[in-house]
Amino acid sequence: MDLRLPTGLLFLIVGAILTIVGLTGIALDLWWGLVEMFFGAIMTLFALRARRGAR
Amino acid sequence: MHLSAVDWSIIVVYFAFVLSVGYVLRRAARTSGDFLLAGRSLPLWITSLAYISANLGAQEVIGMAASGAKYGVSTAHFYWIGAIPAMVFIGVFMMPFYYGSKARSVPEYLKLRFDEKTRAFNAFTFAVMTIFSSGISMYAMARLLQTLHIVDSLLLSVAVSALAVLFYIFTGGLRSAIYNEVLQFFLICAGFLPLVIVGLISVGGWQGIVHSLPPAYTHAWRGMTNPQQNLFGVDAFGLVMGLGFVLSFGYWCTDYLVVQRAMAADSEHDARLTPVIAAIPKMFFPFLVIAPGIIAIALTPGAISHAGGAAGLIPVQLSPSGMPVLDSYGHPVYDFNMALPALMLHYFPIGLLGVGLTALLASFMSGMAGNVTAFNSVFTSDIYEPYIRKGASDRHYLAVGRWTTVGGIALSVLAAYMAAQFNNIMDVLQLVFAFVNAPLFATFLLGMFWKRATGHGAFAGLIGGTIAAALHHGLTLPAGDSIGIKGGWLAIMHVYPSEMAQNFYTAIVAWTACFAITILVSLVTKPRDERELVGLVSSLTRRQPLRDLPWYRRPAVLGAVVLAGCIVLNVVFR
Repeated sequence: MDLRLPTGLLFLIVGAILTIVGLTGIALDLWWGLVEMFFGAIMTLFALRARRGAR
Repeated sequence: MHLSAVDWSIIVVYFAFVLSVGYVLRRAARTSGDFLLAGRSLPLWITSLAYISANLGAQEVIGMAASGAKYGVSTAHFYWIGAIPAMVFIGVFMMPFYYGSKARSVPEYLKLRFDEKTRAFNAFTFAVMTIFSSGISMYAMARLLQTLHIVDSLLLSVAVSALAVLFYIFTGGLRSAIYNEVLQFFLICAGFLPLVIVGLISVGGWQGIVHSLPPAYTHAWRGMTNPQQNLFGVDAFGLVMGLGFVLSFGYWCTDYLVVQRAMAADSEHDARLTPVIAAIPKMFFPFLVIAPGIIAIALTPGAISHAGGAAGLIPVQLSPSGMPVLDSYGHPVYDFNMALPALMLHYFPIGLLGVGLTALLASFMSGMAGNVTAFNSVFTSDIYEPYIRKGASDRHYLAVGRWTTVGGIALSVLAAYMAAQFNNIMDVLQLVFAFVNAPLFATFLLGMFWKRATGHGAFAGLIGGTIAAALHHGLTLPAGDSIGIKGGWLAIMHVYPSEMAQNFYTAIVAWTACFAITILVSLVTKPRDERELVGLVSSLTRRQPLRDLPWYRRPAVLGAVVLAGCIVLNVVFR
């Protein structure tokens, strides 16, 4: 198992929850949600690229 | 405090991922080697992050923020002096013998290098110590959750986290514990980083803190030449020798809990690099775990001026009757352990509060999993196999390893309840373990770098060092404390300015006694045949040539860079 995949997915989901809550007017949630989603996306991308490379 | 559905949903998502990792990795633990040592096949970045994450338990996180509030920037000494040099040392000098000897554990290395009795002493004390550490941490976490009124039942809060840890270790063994530790590491950062950023912005940045706190809180080295002039109450020699050498090297270089993570790496070279690379994020951890405490104290002026009753963030400790607890000078005693959660409640809105609490739970679980996997391994390889059932099949030892997880967690729960009911007993136990641990680094140092050291010498040194520590504790007392568990139970020959100074000097005495006794007894006992010590002692082991590797792949060069960075941080915050 490539640990980057679950890490990336976890941060994407938690980041999305924060971003959605942030859109109701809580700026702190919105900003940190975007940061977590960005980190999650990078981890997921690396994991997917490594998987494609292995094939 | 009432948590919203959003906060709960974040906590539930975290638990779902942690359990899934354990479930997916269930097929990876087919042999006892897979289960207890992760098959020695993990990549470097994972072992490095697990190396610091296993040490990042709830007690560490809550305790460091509490110390930040109590002692200010000086708390960073526990990282910059008390961890980084030792992490570099084990990577550069000691790991080749742990990994290269093919020992499965630290006690097994002692058996290979010295003899059975030295291994048994280390294995039994370590096994008992990990259970109590895990139990104390469990109790501290449950009490925090209860104080915050997140989960009112002590049993429920402990049980849910403990069952999750049980599930993922039982299914996937060390690999599952380590994978989750890395996941938890990222979550801890994600939970505490926004707290530090928002907190710093609200108090006017570092300059704002410097203006609102006395200089002793914002300088790491000011007043260190005189124990009366720094918040630790420690002199520079006690700090550098006691914390920076004996306690720090004793923990980071010999405690199997952390060493096990490096030994899970897929090569000796990566095992050496593991602690050195781990030292890089570790160096910056004060900004993550100590800074919240400093921000909290900046927002609690009453705790500094001793005015008492001033509106502040850190609550005053209350007696069971609800009255404020006062010290011997009549000043209110602040509950510094609440610094971190109080700051979270102060700054975090719905959503981020869930992230912050997830970080606290993650730290608790990673610390507990660290203890339980180390206990598993030491019990199976160093107690069960040599003393209970020798020569059984690997399948049998795999099953023992798995069920030891259940036993280890059950014993931790028991220890947590002991901590709840007999607080003093836990203090006594911690003290005894401190006596046992302090001399251990002398044994390893002589074992790895002096081929003449013998098994009888090592064993006598460990026992002598432990007795010397107990004697020093019994003959000294910290100022303002009463005779008993704090010391002076034999006679009072010296009064230390603080409890920390007494601890550091107890460690120095224990280490020195162990070092001297090991040498003396070794010189009068028969040495082992040198051929038996190849791969176990530095002077008899051939080193791997590393000249062709780039600088960042060479442990010594990378270690020097890390140490230079550490010096820069000390200079900046001097």
